[in-house]
Amino acid sequence: MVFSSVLFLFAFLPVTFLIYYAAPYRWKNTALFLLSLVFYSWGEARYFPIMLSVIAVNYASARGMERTARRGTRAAFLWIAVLFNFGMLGFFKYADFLSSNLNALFSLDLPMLRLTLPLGISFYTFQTMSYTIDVYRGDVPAERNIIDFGAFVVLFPQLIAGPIVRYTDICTQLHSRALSLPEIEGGVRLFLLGLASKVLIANNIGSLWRDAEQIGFANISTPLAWLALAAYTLQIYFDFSGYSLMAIGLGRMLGFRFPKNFDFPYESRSVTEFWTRWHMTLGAWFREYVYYPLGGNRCGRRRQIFNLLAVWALTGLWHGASWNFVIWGLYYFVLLMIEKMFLLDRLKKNCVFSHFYLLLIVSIGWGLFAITDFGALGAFFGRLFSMTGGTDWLYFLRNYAVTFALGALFSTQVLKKPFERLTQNRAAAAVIYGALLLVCTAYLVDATYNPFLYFRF
Amino acid sequence: MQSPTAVLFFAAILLLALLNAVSPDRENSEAENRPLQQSPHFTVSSMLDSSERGFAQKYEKYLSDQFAGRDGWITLKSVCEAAFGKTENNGVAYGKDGHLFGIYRAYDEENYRANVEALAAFAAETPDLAKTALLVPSGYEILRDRVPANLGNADQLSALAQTRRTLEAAGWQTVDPAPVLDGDSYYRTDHHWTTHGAFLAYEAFCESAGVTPVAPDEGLRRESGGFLGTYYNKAKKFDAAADTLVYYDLPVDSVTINGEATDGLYDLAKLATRDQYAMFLHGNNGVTVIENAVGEGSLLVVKDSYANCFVPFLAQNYRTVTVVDLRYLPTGFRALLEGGSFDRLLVLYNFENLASDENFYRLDD
Repeated sequence: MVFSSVLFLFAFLPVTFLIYYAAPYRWKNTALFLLSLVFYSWGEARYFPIMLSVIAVNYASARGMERTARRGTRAAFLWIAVLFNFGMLGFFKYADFLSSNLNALFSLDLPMLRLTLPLGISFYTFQTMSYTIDVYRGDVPAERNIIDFGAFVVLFPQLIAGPIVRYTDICTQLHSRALSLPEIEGGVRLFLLGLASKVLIANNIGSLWRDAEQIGFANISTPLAWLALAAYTLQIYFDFSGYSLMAIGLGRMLGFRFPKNFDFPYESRSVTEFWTRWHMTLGAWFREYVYYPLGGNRCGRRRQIFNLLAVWALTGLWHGASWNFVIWGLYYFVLLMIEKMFLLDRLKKNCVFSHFYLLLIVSIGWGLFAITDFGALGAFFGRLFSMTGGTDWLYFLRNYAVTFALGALFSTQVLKKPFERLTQNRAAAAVIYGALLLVCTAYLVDATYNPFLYFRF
Repeated sequence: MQSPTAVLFFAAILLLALLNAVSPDRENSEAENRPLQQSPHFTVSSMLDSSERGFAQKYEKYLSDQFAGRDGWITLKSVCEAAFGKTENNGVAYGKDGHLFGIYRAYDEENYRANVEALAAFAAETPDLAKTALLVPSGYEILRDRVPANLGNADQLSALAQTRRTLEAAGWQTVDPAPVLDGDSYYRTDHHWTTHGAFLAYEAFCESAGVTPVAPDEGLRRESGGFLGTYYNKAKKFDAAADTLVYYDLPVDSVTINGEATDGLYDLAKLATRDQYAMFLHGNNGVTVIENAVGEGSLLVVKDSYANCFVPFLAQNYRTVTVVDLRYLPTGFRALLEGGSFDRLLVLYNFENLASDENFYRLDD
C-alpha cells in the first residue's frame, strides 16, 4: 500500500486509528504490529512469510547473542542475521542485475527472475540490520518481546520510503510513549504537508519529465531537456521529502518521534553540505555501519579514500540495481573528493556561485539517476549539451510555470517563518490544512499521474 | 478547541470512509462515459494474485471509482488545475475559443505502417474492385489557429501525404479532405468531426468517385444542444462550452444492423445521454446495411466512428451502403466482400485510429 492513495487515506487510516486509539495501552503495539502487517501485505500477500521470517531471524539471533559472552558465538549469530538479511535483499533486488551482467560478460544464458521487490525491502533491511549490529556491539539490549520487535520492523509509517529509523532511535518509545493532542495535531499537520508535497507538487511537475520521456529524449530541444531536468529535480525532492514528512507525521500521530530526513537540501552551497541535508538517515546509516567500521578517516589518507569510494558505490547501488545508479554514486564520490581537495574553501567564499554550482551539479546527477537505459541516457545528455534549438519548450514553460514557481519557492525556507506565524493561529491552521486535504483528495480521486518512485529501492 | 486541525482531519477521513461505505455503487459514469469498477469478490487465490486482476488491485480501483461524490472531486481537480495556470488536464489541451485538443505528440509508427501495408496488400488481391481511401486528420491539424502555441503534436498531414502516395501506387484512389475542411469541421469538446465537416469531405469523395453530391434539404436539419464530448470527458474543463450536434433526418428505406432491422439512421435516445455522437448509425456495429431506392449501385464502407455521421450522406447516392467496422467484426469480412457485388469500397479512418487500430488483419478473414 502507498500513502498517496484513496485506499490508504480513506480506508486504512480511519480503521487503523480507530483501532489504535481505542486499544488499551498494553495492546497498542500488538495492534500496530498487526495493522502494519496488513499494510505490508496488501497487494503482495505472497510476501507475507518473508516479513515474518525477517522478524523471527533477527529477533532470535539478537536474543542468542545476549545469552553468551563468547565473541565467536556472538559473531556467528551476527553473521546468520547479516547473511539472511542481505541474502533476501540480494536475491530480490540484485539477482537479475547480477545474472544480466554475468550473461553479458561470459555469454551465459542465466534466466531472469523478474521479481517485484517486497515493499520497502531496502528500508526495512537497513533498519533491521542497525538493530542486530547494535545489539552485537552491546550498544543496546536485545528486544525481549517479539511483538514489540515485530512492530519496530514492520512499522507502517516509515516502512516504504524512509526515514531509515534505527532501533536506538525509538526503542524507548516502543515501550513507553505518551499520546497527546498537541503531538497528534503536529503529526496531522506534517502528514498533510507531506501529502501536499507529493500530490500537488511532485506529481504535477513530474508529468513534464514523463512528457519529455514520451516525446523521446532524442527528439527534444536543448531548452526542453533542461526544463525536464529541472522538473525531475523538483519532483524527486518533493516526492521523497513528502514521503518522509508523511512518515514523520504519522509517527507522531502514533506517539513516535522519527528522525528528520530532509533539511532544505537545495539551499546547500556544496555537495558536501547537500549530503548532510538530503536523505539524512541514509547517510547516517552508511557512516555508522560502513564508513566507521572500515576505519573512516583514522587509517590514513589512502584508506579513507577507499572507504569513501566503497560508501558511495554502495549508496548508488542501494538506490537501484542498475549501473546508472552506481555511476550516480561514483559521480558524487568524485565531486566530494574534489571539494575536499580544494573547492570547498572557494565555494564558501562565493555565495552566488556556490548556489548555482550546487543546483547544476545536483540536477545533472538526477539525469544520471532518472534514466536507467544507457541509450536514452546518452540521447538525453546529448540534448542537454548540444545546443539543439526548437520551440517545443515554450508550451511546457507556459503550462508548468506556476508549478515551477511553487516548487522553487517551497524548496527554500523563504516562506517557512511566515507560514509558521500564520499557522500559530489554530483556526487559520485548520482552514489551510483543511483546504490542503480537500484539494489533495480531488487529485487522488482523479489521479492520472501518481507514480511510486521507490519500487527500485 | 485545542487541536482543530487534528479533529478536522480525523472527522473528514472517517466521514468520507462512512460515505463511501453507504453510498450506492454506480454501474457506469455518465460524466466519464465509461463503466466503473464494481466490488471485487474476495477469494484466497485472488488475494494472492498481485497482478491487475488481484483482489487488492481491483479493490483499490473500486474505492476510487465509487468514491462518494466522485464527479464533484473531478471538477474540483479541474478547477485547481486552472488555478495552477495549467493549459491541459488528463492529456487534453485547452485551445482558443473553447476548443479542446488531444495531446498527441507521438504515435505507434510501426503499427501505422503495418496498417497502411495491410491496405496496400489488400489492393493487390482485389485488382477489379474500385477502392477509395479517405483518411481524416485530427482537428488540431485543421484548426491550427486555435491550437495552443507549440503544443508539439505529431505531424499527421505529412504522414497522410506519404500514405496517399503509397496507397495510390498500390491501386487505391485517395481523397484528401484537409483542403476542404474548415473552422467549423470539428467539435470543440469531442474528437470527431462535425456533420458539417463530414459533408465537406463527402463532396470531395463524390467528386473523386464520379457521383453527384446530394445537398441535404435544410428543412430536415435537426439540432441537439448541450453536447459535451470525449475531450471534455477527459479534461473535465469546468467552464467548457458545450457543442451543438447537427443531423439531417434523411429518408432511407431500411437500416439493418448485424442482420436485425433497425429504426432509421439514428438512435435518438442517445441525444439524452452524455455521448450524443453515439446516435449516428446507432454507434459502432459490425455490419450495418442501409437500403435506399433513390440511389444507384452498391458501396462497401470499412470505417471507424468518423464515418458514422458521413454515411447518411452516402445513402442518398447508393442504393445499398454496407458499413463494416472491423473492430466489431472478428471474422467474415472476406465472405461478405465476395458475397456482395460492390461497385466500390471506401475506407474511412481518422489518423489516430489508423495508427492505433490492430484489426486490419481482419481484412483477410
